[in-house]
Order: sequence, then C-alpha cells, then structure tokens
Amino acid sequence: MRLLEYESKTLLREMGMEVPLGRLAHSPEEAAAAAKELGTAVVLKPQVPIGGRGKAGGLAFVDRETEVIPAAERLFATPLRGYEVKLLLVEQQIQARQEFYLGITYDPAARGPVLLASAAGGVEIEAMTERVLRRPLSLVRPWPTFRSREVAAGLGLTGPALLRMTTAIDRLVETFLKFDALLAEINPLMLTDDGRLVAVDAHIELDPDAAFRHQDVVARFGLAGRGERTLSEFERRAAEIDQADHRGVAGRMVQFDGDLGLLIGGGGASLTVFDAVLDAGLRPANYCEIGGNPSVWKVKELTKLILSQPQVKRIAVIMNVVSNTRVDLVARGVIKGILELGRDPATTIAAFRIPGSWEEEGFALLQRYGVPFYTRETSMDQVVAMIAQDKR
Amino acid sequence: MAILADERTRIIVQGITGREAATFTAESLAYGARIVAGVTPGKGGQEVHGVPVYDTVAAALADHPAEATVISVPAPLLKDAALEAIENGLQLVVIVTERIPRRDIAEVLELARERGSRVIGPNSLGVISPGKTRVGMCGGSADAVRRAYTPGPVGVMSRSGGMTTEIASLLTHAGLGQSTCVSVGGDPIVGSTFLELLPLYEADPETRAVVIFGEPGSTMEEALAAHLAAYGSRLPIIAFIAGRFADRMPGVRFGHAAAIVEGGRGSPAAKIAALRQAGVRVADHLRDLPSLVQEAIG
Amino acid sequence: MGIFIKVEIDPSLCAPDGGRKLVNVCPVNVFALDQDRVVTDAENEDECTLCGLCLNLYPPGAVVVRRLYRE
Ligand code: SF4
Repeated sequence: MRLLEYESKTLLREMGMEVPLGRLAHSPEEAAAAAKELGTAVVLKPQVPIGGRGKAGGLAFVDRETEVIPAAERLFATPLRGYEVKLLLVEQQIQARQEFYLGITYDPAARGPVLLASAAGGVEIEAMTERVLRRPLSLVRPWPTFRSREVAAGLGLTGPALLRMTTAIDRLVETFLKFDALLAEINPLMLTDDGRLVAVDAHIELDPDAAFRHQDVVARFGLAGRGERTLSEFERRAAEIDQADHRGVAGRMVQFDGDLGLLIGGGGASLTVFDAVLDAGLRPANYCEIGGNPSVWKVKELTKLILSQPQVKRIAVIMNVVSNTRVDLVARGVIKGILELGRDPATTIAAFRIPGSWEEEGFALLQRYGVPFYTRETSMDQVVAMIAQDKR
Repeated sequence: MAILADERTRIIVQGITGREAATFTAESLAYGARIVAGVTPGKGGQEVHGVPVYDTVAAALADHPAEATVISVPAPLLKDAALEAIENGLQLVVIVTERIPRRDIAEVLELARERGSRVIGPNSLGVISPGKTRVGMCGGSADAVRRAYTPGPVGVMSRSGGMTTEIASLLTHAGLGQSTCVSVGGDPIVGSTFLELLPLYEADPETRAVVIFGEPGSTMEEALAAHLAAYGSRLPIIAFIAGRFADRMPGVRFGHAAAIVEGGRGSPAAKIAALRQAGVRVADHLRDLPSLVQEAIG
Repeated sequence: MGIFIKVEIDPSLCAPDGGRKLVNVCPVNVFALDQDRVVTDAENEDECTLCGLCLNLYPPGAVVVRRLYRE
C-alpha cells in the first residue's frame, strides 16, 4: 500500500521528523491561498503514487504569487504517467546546503530490513553512483542509536549535523517498524544553511499483510483497495461471483482478447499452463485461477461468464494433480454452465485435465457427456499442445 | 536416505485443532508420519485423531520429544507460534501459513538463524520423503500421496506447493522415484532457498539428481546459478522455470506474491539464462523434465 | 432439479420425525423444511458432495442419492 507523499510526511512528522511547511490544495484557487499563507517561494507537488515526478515534469517551483494559479492549472491538467492529478501539496521551498538519501526496505537475499544511506540525495537510489552505506536491521534486538551515529559519520557529517542526522535515522527506523512498512524512504533529506535536516520528499509503503494491525492508518488515509488494478466489467463480475460464495478461491480473473477460455489451477500451475498456451500459439481469452474447493455453483457461474464473451469458442480446464479441489465438483460446474448456455460440453470443452481427488467420479461424469479429458499421465503442457493441434 | 525428515522424525502440529491442520494430521498419520503431539492454546487436554493436544510447545515436548513442527495457524498468530517452536529447540519448522506480515516472518527467520533451526516456508505445503514421512500437507490423502510420490533417487525443490506434487507425479509415472520433495514456499522471503537446501541433497547418498521448479520474482534461482557457476555440484540439476510469459506482460501479477517482475530483476528469462550458463539442464517444457532427469542419471 | 444428482426421500421410512435430522446433517443444504415436510432443495442437489452423511440417519432406503451420470 503505497502512501502519497503528504501521507508519508504526515507519519514522519508525527514521529518527530521535520518536514517542510505545507498545505493541501484541491484547486488552483486553494493553491493560491496556500501559497499566500506560506510565503512567496513555494513548490507545487502533485500527489500521485509514482516516483520521479520531477523528471516527469510534475513539480512546479514558483517564486511569485501571480505564477501560482497558472502553474497549478497546468499541473491539474497534466496526468502523470496515467494518474490524474486531483491534489497538490503546496510547500515552502527549502534551500539545501547538502542533500542526502535515507531508506529502509527488505532485502530478500538477507531476509531482513536493510538501511541504505547516501550523501548524494535527490536522485533515485538505483542511479546513485556515490557510495551507498548499507546496514542490516535486526528485528530480534532493538536498533541501537550508536548504529545511527556510525551511519551519520559515514555520510561525512560532524558536529551538530552529525547529531541531527543520528536522530533522523533513529526516527526513520522507528517509523519503518512501527507502521510495518515495506519501504520508508526520504529522498532528499536536506541539510539547510541553518543546520536543520528536513525531509523534502518521502515515500512510505505499508505491508498489506500487516494492515490488520494498522486499521487506524488504513481508515485515516482511505487505503483500502488502493493500488489495485481497476477491474474491467468482466473482471468485476468474476470477483462478485467469487465473493458471493465463500467456498474455494475462484477469482483472479484477467481479461484478454483471445478465443480460448481458461479455467486453471492457481500459483505455479497457472504460470505453467499460461506459458504453454502462448507457446502453442493459442490465444487466451482470460486468465482465471481456481483453487481450494469451489462449489459447483461458483465454477458454473465462472464458466458461463468466460463463455459469455462472443469471441470465446472453447474453454480449457487444466490443473495440477489436486488434493483439496474435487475433480468431480469442478467437472459438474463446468458442464452445468455450458448446458445452461444451451451448448454442448463435448465440443465446448477443449480439454479437461484435473487429476486427483475424486477423479474416478469426475472422469465418469466427463465420459458421460463426451468431454475430452486427460489423466495425470498427460502433463499439463502436453494437454495444451493437443488443444492446439485440434483446432476446430 | 532422505533429507530434512525421515521415518524416525517426530513431529508436532501447531494449530492442530484447525480444520485444515486436523485433516492433514489424519492424512499424515495414515501415511506413516510420527505425529506425536499437537498444540492449540486453550485446547490442551483434547485429542485430534488420537493425537494429544497441549496448550504450549514446552508442555507438548515435555511429554513427547520431537524434532519437527508444522505450523498452521492464522497469519496474525504465526510469529508467536514460530518463535515458540524455535525457542523450544525444534530443528525443523515447516510454516504452512501464508500472508504473514513481512516484519513477523523476518523476525522469525532471524531468530531461527541464531538458534540453528531450519525453517521451510512460509506458504509451504511441507516436506515429503516418500515412503518414510510427510511433514506438512503436500499431496493430500495418504492414498493420493502414495500414488503421486514414490521412493527413489530424485530430489525435488519447488516454489509452488501444487507443482511439487505434479512434478513428483510426472517423475513417478516415468519410473523415477524421489528422495525428498520440498515445497520451499511461495513468499518473497522464505526460510530455506534452493541454494541452502542443495548441500543437504549433496550429502545424501541416495539422491542422484535434483529437480527445481522456479517462478518469476525473487532471486533464488539466480543465487543457485551463481553458486553452481563458481563451485559446481556433484548432482546434476534439472530445472523448469514457469512464467516466461511474464516477461512479455510486465506488471501483470499471477500466482504467488513473490512472482512479481520489476525492472528485469527476477525475470524468468534471466533465471533460465543464468541457470543454463551454470550447467543446469533447463527444460523448455514441463513434460521434458523426466527425460532430462533420465539422461542426467543415466 | 439436479442434472447430476437426484436425492430421493421416502418419508414413510423416516419415522418418527419425518426426516428433520437431514436438514442439519447435509453440508451443502440439499434438504430443507417445507412447512412440516422435509423436501430436497433442487437448487442444491448438484452441490452434493456424496459424503453419505444423510444415508446413515434412517433405515436403508429412506434416502437415496442417485448419480444420474452413472445410470
Ligand atoms: S450425500 Fe452428503 S452432500 Fe449429498 S445429500 Fe447426503 S448429506 Fe448432503
């Protein structure tokens, strides 16, 4: 769950980090009022969930009051990488003596959080040529302040600036841990002429799997559902079917424009089947994974939904050897859906390959309806290859 | 022989009174696994399929010494259950639970490293040494497991739980049995990677080849490839990497949480290239796995 | 009506309660109460998991679960 800049800064400020004085603006007029309140030199920053706004032409530095409204109008009218701009953060400009980068994220190889710090802030960390300091964070023991001091010294700081940086690093560590962040980044962190350290831009991402511990933050910023792909009408209906019945997972529908409908096992099996489908030159109409033990009704409704697209001629039902999902119940659902559409299961099902629990029952049913089915002896990608050969 | 667990391994199940855990406990017992006790706080004194239930791991182990645990508890409770297992000295910790907060699992894995516990998972279906034992729930009922898995010389490591059984089944059908199959887990951070498990297979005299099933995301395959390029292995390694289509559709996220491709890192094409460079036989099609294994072990 | 599964109840064999226990035992709600009579819910017949729980409550023949695709 990616927080917007102002949301990230709100959390950081509440944790004791200095951020520039700023106001939110929903319109050019509000931006002008905010600028008036903040003083002349301000920066207008669109609140969209992307990095590198500066490079994308998304920031406006304004030094005269009369420039605010035209600049804000331009920003509101210019989508940034597909995101419409609905909100500006108007902030006092900060003059930097030096810019730093501070970030904490999980390093999958180290299997824990790592603090990254650099004396070359302002650019993306991937592009940094300056030395980047890396310090792993323990989760078993508390982060000691001397570690922050070592990092501050490693950034070449001395005197009061070193002490301020030490505190800033401590605060970032606390923020990262307290909110279960996956990423907490301040870039740039500016050292001003009068010796203050100000978080001029910040980016925090929270762990969706830890959201249950942070319902207050979720509610405060309206984070539920944020960052999820906008669903097509078709995909939305699949989600509705999934939610209408708690038995089994049978959702995650993604729509494509081909003619072969797919109902496939989740996880690694779906990746394998999808590769095989594209390798064989078949054109998938959709991606739809099933798992757990879905009800007959759920499979039936998904089958009907997939076949409701006019270009979809056939449907392939392919899973790995299953232990939880019932072969016969899936077979019932698919056949029933096809029958309710007034079509013939024997010609509409391109192939049915789900071996595993209750397979004898499932195969008996498939046989009765003349559906081409395969047992575990035929691998999933082989089944796909046979569908491709048998284009009717 | 086998790795990680065999017929002597004594197992406890944390969260044993849950529906899924109770089911796999019964199935595992029927398969011959030595499940000696279960733990569910507040349900001590009950029994699940004849297995005594305790309130704490310490109490369970006091009556029933064990080496391994399978943890199947709701995600918010996972950290405490896993820390309890590690602090009580369990050497093999299989975590079935998925969608665990990143911070919790990282803390668990850090403590496990300090205490020398081996963690498999999270989001793992477990470990199975065919004909000997199962720690977890790969393969379903005892009959289904016997049908898909057979004892033999091939080690299997898979990032996908379901594909662990599928691959074992393909191998079995081709007359190739398995020494130990490990569902390493589908999450971005897991307790044991391919590279960390490889030395166990290398030390197992019965294992003569290892099959890995990889996916987009994470750098587990790349790390293995780098190691093999530098040091090689006494074992032939055969790989199948699923999700090549993800290279053509960046950002589309199917399958596991770890299977996200961002900025070329962890892309299937890069994994395949690195593994081939390191001498790994990478199958173009899943169906080719058995013949490649056959070829490799002669 | 179920296309795959047909569940038949013989009320005369379901004494003394007319088969009420069926309503609670079935995991997929194949049985329902209609006034005082136990009937099958045609909508749910095809959800039958063939678990057999309904077969053991009353004397043999009281409930018959038919797999139409096997006939
Ligand atoms: S067999 Fe089971 S699922 Fe089917 S009707 Fe009887 S109780 Fe319900």
